[in-house]
Amino acid sequence: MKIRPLYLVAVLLTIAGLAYAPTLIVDAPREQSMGFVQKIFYFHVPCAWVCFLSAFVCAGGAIAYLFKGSERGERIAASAAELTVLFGLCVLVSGPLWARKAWGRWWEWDVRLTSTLLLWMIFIGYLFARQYGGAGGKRLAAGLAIFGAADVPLIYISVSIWRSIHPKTSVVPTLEAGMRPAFWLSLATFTVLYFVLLGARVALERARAALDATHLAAEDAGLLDGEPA
Amino acid sequence: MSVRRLFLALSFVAVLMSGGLAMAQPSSPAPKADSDGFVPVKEGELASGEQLPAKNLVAAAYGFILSCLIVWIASVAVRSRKVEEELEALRSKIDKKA
Repeated sequence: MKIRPLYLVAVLLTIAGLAYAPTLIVDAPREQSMGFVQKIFYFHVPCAWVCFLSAFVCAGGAIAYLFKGSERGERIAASAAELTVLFGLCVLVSGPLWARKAWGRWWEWDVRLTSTLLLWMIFIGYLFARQYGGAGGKRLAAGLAIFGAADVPLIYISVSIWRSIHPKTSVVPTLEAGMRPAFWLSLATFTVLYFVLLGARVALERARAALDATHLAAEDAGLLDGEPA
Repeated sequence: MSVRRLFLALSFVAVLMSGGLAMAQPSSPAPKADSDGFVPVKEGELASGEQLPAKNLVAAAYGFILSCLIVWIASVAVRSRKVEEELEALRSKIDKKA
């Protein structure tokens, strides 16, 4: 497989970021009321950001597939959906670990937490629909992706509208100066990591499409007569 | 109504709903949280007893995320190798018959 130079640079940047971010996170000032457990913030929020970004990428690919019939869009959507589930799982596990110490409970049926769980389940639904949905499975999955992405703004604003014990969105803009380098480096690293992983996953979908196309072409040419598919 | 139109209509409703919620002002002011931002601790304020369990939780969260990433990358590598092997086998079969 041919690796593009830009992809290689992104991989190296991700490795450097992942290696250096823990140092900055450990050196960042501790938060007064939550103490050391607040350090989870430095990778919980980037995971959530990447999860939401991935939901939008998936919806973009799904729209391209539904309305323009773009197979490339479908491949990107499928890859992004898997990453939404992956990073969503990281958010849903790292959050309760933080909550256990900060709130004294693993889980709270708060709007922010519940709508994030819902987002995760919608994208699991996407993967199931695409895999087992039969002939129209890809179209059904694409529709689910659009609804999943529509949940993202709701998750973001939920803490401002409803009563919530989850930290508000104002936490990031008002972040104390000593905490900023660790947070922004971590966010940038996870963003680059996301595109590295998306590139790898899209390459897999492309290879699968090439395999299917080769198989069909060989069948049409009568070269696989009597061979099992 | 075609499936495409149905999706378009439902997507439009979903976007309108999420946009409407975003702009909606709460009828009563939202309850004020203890603090809108993080307050860094001053030197000498740390209680030594609270550090250990918090460290375990932070390590568990970081470890879980790293493990998820490693497992996922390994699964993509395995799936890619399998597809490449299948493609290679198919191509050699075609070359033999052609």
